[in-house]
Amino acid sequence: MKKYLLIALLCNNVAYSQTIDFDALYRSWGANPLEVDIKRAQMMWNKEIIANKSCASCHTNNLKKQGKHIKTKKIIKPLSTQVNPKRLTKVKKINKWLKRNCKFTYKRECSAQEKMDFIEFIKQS
Amino acid sequence: MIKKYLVVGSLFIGSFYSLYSQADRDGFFGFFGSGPGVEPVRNAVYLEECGSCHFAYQPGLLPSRSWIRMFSQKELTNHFEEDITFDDKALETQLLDYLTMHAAEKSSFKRSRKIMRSLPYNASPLRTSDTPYLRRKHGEIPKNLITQPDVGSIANCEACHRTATEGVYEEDQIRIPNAGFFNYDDD
Ligand code: HEC
Ligand code: HEC
Ligand code: HEC
Repeated sequence: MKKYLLIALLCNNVAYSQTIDFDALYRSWGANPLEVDIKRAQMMWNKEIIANKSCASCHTNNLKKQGKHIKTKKIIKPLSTQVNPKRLTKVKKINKWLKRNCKFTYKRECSAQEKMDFIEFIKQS
Repeated sequence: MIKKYLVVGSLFIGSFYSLYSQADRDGFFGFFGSGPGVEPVRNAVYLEECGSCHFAYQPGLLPSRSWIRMFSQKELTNHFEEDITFDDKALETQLLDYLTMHAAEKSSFKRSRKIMRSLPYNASPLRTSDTPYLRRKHGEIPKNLITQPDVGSIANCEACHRTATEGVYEEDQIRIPNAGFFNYDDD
């Protein structure tokens, strides 16, 4: 009985600490992991293609700091995985927010290349 | 033998905990499904999906016809200028079910009932702050106190109602930021 409990507990832990295979994710979007360009994402981050709208408007320029939704003023926890280990741990969540945030910021969805660059940029910051 | 005790024990602890945590939040009333405020949100999926951009508005702040309208594809693609359509249709259904099952007309909490009473039968506002009851309650707040950076808009319930997440909007828990001497007397 105890043994099974222990095993079940261990399995649970494994499931939680599982990390995403990012290269596979990028390929699933149609991007080539060898063509990552973090500089491009860095430049895009606070570029206002539409006035007063950029990734930085809600997430700020320092990804280790908390952000604030420009409209609702709701606090957004830091995106940096270094200070917020919960970030970039769920594929569904990443896909959902990239779609929403690109539409909000640029009025269009981001390309596979752009999405890959953003994620690698976030992982570095 | 031990297993049996374990099961009974955990059932006991479990039920005690749920009693305790509910009593803690809503007092005596909450346990019986009614109270002075609105029913608090206790749904992790809702908190995650509808509480990441803003305060997770309680379902009991609007009638189910409003929530159904909000979940039409037209409204989901333009939810106050945000596209919040769901790729996961099962999730979408789950959220709408939660909202409609706990909507204002099904609630016996005081504020939900007052909201329903104030609402014309054919009105389905998308903003909780647009119901006649809340319009009246908020009618006397000076505009500059609402648009100030610390609040932003009347939709930012938490900025002024410190216990909003508990579904409690009582007057003694209201603090408008930087309000100075503005006095919000009850009428
Ligand atoms: C209007 C405000 C806003 C803007 C602009 C915005 N975001 Fe976000 N973003 C959010 C919110 C809200 C969340 C989810 C809240 C949370 O999880 O704390 C989020 C979550 C994310 C996540 C999910 C991280 C995770 O937890 O896995 C990523 C990635 C992200 N944003 C990237 C971007 C990028 C790239 C841009 C620019 C194209 C951008 N965001 C612009 C508000 C914004
Ligand atoms: C991508 C961000 C985002 C997500 C996700 C989101 N909303 Fe909103 N919502 C907004 C914005 C922006 C507003 C307008 C806030 C304002 O006017 O200050 C808003 C406003 C509202 C209002 C009106 C508030 C009022 O009373 O004035 C309600 C009700 C609401 N949302 C419900 C929901 C529900 C239910 C969900 C989940 C299905 C949801 N929202 C998910 C961005 C979002
Ligand atoms: C700018 C500050 C502010 C914001 C934002 C705000 N309220 Fe209020 N609210 C007040 C004040 C002040 C009163 C008291 C009015 C009175 O009774 O004179 C009040 C009253 C109420 C009441 C009635 C309470 C009572 O004791 O009569 C409810 C319910 C309520 N608000 C809900 C909300 C909800 C829901 C939101 C978000 C959609 C919200 N409020 C946003 C300031 C605010």
